[in-house]
Amino acid sequence: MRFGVLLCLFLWPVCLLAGPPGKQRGEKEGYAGSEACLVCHEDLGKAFLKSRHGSLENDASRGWKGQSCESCHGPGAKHGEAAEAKFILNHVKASPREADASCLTCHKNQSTHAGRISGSHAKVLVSCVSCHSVHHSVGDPAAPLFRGFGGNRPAGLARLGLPVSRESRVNELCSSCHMGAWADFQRPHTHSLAQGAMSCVDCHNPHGTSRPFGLNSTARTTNAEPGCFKCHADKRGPFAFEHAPVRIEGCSACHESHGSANPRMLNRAEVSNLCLECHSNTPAVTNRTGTLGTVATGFHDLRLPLYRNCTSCHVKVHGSHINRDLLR
Amino acid sequence: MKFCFLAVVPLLAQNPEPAQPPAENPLRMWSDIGYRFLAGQHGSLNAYRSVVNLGEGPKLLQFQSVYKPPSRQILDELKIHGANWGDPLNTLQVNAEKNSVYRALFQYRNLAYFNALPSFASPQLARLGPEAFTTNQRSMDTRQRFLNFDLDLLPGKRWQPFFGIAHNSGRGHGVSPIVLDENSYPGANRIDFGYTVFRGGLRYEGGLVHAHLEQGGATFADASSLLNTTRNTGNRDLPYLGRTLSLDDTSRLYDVTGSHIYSSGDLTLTPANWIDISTEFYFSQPRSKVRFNESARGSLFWLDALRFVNGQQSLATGYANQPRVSGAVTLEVRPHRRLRIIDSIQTERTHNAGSLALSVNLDGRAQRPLNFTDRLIWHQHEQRLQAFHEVHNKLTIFGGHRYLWGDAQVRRAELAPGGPLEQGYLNRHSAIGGFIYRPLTKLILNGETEVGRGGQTYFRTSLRNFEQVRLRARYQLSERWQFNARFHRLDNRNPTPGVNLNFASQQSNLTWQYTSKKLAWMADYTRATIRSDIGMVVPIYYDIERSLYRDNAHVGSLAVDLNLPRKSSVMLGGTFFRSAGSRPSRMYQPLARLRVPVGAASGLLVEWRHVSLGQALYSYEAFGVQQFIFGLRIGK
Repeated sequence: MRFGVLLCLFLWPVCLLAGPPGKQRGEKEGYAGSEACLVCHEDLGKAFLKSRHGSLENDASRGWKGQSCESCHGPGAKHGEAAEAKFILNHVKASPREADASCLTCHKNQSTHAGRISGSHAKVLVSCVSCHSVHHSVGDPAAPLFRGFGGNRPAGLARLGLPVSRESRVNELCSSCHMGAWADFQRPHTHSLAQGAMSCVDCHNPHGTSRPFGLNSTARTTNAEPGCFKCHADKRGPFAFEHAPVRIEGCSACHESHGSANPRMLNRAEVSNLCLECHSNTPAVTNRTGTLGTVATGFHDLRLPLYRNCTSCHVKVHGSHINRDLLR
Repeated sequence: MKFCFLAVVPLLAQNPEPAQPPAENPLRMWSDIGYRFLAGQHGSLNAYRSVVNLGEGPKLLQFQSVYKPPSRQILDELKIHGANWGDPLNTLQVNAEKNSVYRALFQYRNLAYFNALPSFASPQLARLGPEAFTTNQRSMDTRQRFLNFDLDLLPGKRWQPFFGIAHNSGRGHGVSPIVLDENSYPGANRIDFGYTVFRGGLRYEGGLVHAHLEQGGATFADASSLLNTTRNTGNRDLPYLGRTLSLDDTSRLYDVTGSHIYSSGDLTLTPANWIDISTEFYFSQPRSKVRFNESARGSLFWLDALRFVNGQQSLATGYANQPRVSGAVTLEVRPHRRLRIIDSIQTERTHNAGSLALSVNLDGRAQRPLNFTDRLIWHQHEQRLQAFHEVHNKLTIFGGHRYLWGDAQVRRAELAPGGPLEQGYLNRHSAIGGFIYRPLTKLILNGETEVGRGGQTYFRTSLRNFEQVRLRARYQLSERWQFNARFHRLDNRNPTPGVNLNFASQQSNLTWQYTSKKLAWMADYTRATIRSDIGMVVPIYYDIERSLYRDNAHVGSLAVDLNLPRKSSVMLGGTFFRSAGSRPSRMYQPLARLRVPVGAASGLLVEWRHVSLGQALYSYEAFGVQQFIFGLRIGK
């Protein structure tokens, strides 16, 4: 709380001193107005006006009243007079750097964009228009949600799921590039993406975070905890007796979150091997590995079925409130 | 927080201009309803429910309605969308917004989580034989519900207050082992937890400054319990010190409550057009308290007292506190139009302190109370420097360096020699390089590699000396044809004597798609392999054995969309997965779907799907089923 108030106090004068949002448009040289654009681009213009972006056309406070097309494409008078594409910014054909610069004029740091600079999409020059169909509303059946190069919409693999839900449309879009992830979800033990109940953005923030793989955090903006706890709240703790890998390496230390041939999406077929691969450091005096995870004590006779599955006794393997050996 | 709210009150009073009313039907809605039949079901029903879990019966497959009122006084648009009602995985989303006033989002999700696979947790498999194929000591049949509500106020173009509440709960039952020292006994398990988080904050969107402050809090409760009321000899096959251990009845009750506050924020400054500065911080302090009550009767062995007992009762109270701070500063500098340099530093600190007071009665006699404490301290930092150079319009190259370091301290295992704490360290440098090449407008090639060398790692299986390569190509031959290819390989080694880790994973993928007005199809094939080889110590003999894991998988998908006359359409395709190695599996899911419009605002839907899973080593978990859906679309 104190942090929030202090930062707010710090920010207040900074914000007052900051310039107005958007571009400085005192002079309107070179602008043609949206009506002129609609003469040739009627279909796009009509779809645009129905979209969320369409509010720019009528909202004077945003500074683009009557000039919403040029808010993104730049001054269009010369393009209109010459009828040549080279005089206007086309985001799909422009370099990703130019396209993103245009979008980020307004969308630089909305809540979903925190970490954009560190995010991998921005680093490999995946521009905003690679995924977003700027002229259409979200959910508009005519919208080419999958952009591709020409905006064509192919038979999306994710549509092999149940009838197309919002979640499966998101999955369709992501899997068009992340084909390896799509393949992982065809394994027997996965999260329920194929059933259309979850989507990639439940766990990943495509706009980037500073967490590896753009993983979401539990709070909306920050990167402190993995987003797995959003649904698996009972694993969140804090526990009186923590299991260190859960905190330090996260769920992926033991689980293949996209899918696995092994039950519970484990990354080993045998539970005992999964545990013993870490719990194999001999006592400290002779431990030269410098890693965490002490070897199991001698009574764990792996010849007996009882001990083949460690979680049969170490039930609270994600952390225990009661027992330091994670037994209850 | 009050300051934030006071600051935006004048802005709330601003009255934005109303948008022009649309000239269209204010309400549009449609829904798909249907009935699913299952036929030809064979194999394990538990495995089917653990993997697919779609049952028979009437279903509201999906629905959507969009309402745009003619007079937009309260809202501009209300959108409701839901899917899979009647199935165990259903969703609902409601969006409402009014331009320049507010934006609201409500989400609901109800997922059934059923899992009962004996191969995961049936220690009695060897003893009971086929009878044990239906038992699983870590099974569950629960409902995970997730509710989320977000409200963003848009009183002006700069300040945006926001509020939110989210609730996650899990309720159901299952089977879980009751562990009492030298034996474990499967018992009935009741699962009941809930987590609710409240948050609010303020965003500022200026031309040069973007800021976001958030304050939140959460509550948590877990009231799970375990129960056994019949004589149970548990999982121990052999007598313990000459006596057979058994449990006559027991109850184990947990009462865990927790609270959690957090503050977070981020700030992006663009003081000049060649520089961006971005900072993030997060502070949280979750706490939890537990009360625990257990009573058990039977023939038990109590290790702390080193004797057999006929009854015991345990009462415990515990506490955990986990302050956590993280922060990041990132600098993006563009000294030249074609050069971008990103320097970032992140830090994360977690301290967990736990304590427990335990009192035990054995055969009605109180034992000496016991106190336990626990600690986990983890600090991790990362410094990354990367430069991106646009050599020309078609080629961008990048390179950089990443340094990751940290330390962790945890309680040492009980019987291990040494001090009370065990320490681990992380120290790893890696070099990053890559390119993005667009020789043609419709061809993109990109590649990325990272080579890391580490001195120390937290765990034996962590990344240490690794090489990683990613290559991707995307080519649009024409408006109709498009190809994608992707390759990824990761090699990781830890040569420390006693560890000798050799890990390699590789994935190659090819996608081919065709799109025209009448026909669209997409074919995808993936070859994925995982090989892991590491030394592990086997208890009793303390020999070092090799732990080997192999997974050689082929995955393929095909989706063909064929548009028939009168707006009918057929979709054919499916997926297959075949793997060999440590757990050979086969999974096939062919699919056919037909849509036929009937009149202007309705249509028929017919779908057939076959789902089968084959398990070479665990044949009792194989299954196959045919699913048929006959449905109707109403509205458009």
